[in-house]
Amino acid sequence: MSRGVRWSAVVVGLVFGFLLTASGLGDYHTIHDGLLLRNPYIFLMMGSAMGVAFAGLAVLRLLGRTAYAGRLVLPHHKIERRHIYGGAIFGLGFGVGATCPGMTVAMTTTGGLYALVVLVGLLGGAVATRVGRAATAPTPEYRGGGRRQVQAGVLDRRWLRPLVISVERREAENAEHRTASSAFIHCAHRRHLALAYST
Amino acid sequence: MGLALGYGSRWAGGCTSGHGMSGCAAVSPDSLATTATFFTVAVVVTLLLHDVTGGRL
Repeated sequence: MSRGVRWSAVVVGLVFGFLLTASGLGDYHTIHDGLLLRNPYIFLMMGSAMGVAFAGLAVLRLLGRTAYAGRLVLPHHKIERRHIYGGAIFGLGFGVGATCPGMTVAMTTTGGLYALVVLVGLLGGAVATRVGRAATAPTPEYRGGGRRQVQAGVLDRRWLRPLVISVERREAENAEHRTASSAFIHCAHRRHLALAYST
Repeated sequence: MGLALGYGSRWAGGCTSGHGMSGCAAVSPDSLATTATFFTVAVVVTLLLHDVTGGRL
């Protein structure tokens, strides 16, 4: 991770966190009323955020490259079952807790105990995914592929990993999915698989 | 609920920011599907809870 990427990540993170808090999305009742369809604020907010991001990406597309991370790579994946199942479980947490992961992290500075409790659950859930995958995933190299892509750095701490969303990792995941059928034979090697996940 | 958030976002490969904002802005099919799913489920769950608890939630 170059200096440029690291510093721009810090700046963007600061601005994002500030705006999330300033926009009032950290307030339980704002989200709750929105999900009860009493207040369109969160949907308008999502819409405007998407619009701005879309415009920004259009500019980046014209430029063809990013400032620090080289060629512009945008996610474009086909729909898989995990998106629906994961989305449904996420929706369950979203509905009951009236907060989302990004907001929870921002809320730890303003929301007191509530955000901390959710944050613990959040990290627990992310770790549980890993355990669930170890039991079912047909691709032992799955995480290994992601690891090689993510360069060692401040964010490459094991306990921070669920928070790190990296384009490289998603790309690696996709590549892994494409070769998933050839990796099927690895299923027999449970020990190998467990090893791959524990390292 | 934190567990559900963490588990779901890892499973689907992103959350409200990752899929909802970035992914949809990039018009990635998986993000559109995930966002539609979690917003629908969230609204349904919230409305159900509201009814079940008699308006306390």
